[in-house]
Amino acid sequence: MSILDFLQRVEETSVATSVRESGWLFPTIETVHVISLAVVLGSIAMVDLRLLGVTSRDRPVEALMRELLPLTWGGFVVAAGSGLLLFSSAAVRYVGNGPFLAKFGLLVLAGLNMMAFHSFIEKKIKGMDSHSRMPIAARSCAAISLLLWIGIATCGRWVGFV
Amino acid sequence: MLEIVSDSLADTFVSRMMQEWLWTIPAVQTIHILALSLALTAGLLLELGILRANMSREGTSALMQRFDGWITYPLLVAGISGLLLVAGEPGRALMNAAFWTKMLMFAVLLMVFVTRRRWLLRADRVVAPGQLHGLLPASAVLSIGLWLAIPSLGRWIAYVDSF
Repeated sequence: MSILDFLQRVEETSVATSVRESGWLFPTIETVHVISLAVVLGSIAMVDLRLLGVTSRDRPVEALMRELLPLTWGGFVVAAGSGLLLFSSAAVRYVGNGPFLAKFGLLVLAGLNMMAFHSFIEKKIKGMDSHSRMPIAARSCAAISLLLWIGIATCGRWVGFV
Repeated sequence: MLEIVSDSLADTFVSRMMQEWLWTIPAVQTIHILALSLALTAGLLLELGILRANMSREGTSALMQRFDGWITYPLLVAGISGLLLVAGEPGRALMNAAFWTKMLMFAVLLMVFVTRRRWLLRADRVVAPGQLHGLLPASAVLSIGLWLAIPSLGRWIAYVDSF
């Protein structure tokens, strides 16, 4: 079975058909997707801007991350679930959509960047007081993360225009 | 009346430029979404902070100071980008019930935010657990509803038929 055949089968499932053919289901799921992505983006941006020393300089990074990570992960789970439902409704079309593929590529890169930060850099900044300047590795991760997530939001908006 | 305003706006330089350079609309929409993302996240954190039982560890003054800038400046950017979007596609916005409902909800949210802000910023406002009652938690619940409804209606603009 080719990938296109598999995607065609996905489109033909009852869930995907319901999402595609209902007048209100697709926009509702899309709304949930946009809001949850907004929460992910907003919470990640707050941490990244703190790591870059642009904002919230009086607050330790650890405390900020502890506060925001549950929101980030919760938002990501909802965004991924709603995204899968949206994708299933027109899987073949989305796979041929340039901005959609770019969005996925950037998501993978953002995930790898986040893994690198949590695996190698987070322990180095643990216990740093709020007035210390973040190491260059932390700031680089933060800058890359911000750019990737801005790219993800941009590609997400362009999916509907192409 | 709305149709007249919409047609007049469509004749302006900004509107014609945005219609001609088609990339400008998704670009401005992206800026609008990015700004709203920051404001939405900060807004939710502020309201959840007001409702949380461990409020006394961080008084309302510190809480408001922390999130004030995260809400105010992104909302300013969202407002400017929103105005550009209305100018770019006046018919789509001004002749749409979802748009006007969104604007009404935004006005209510702004009113709640501005009314509470000065009270929350007073340095002596440290409220112990269990002492939070009355309008403050009610305003937080209302605000959370509005923070979620506003971007939802923003998305529904594309799906609701014009007047």
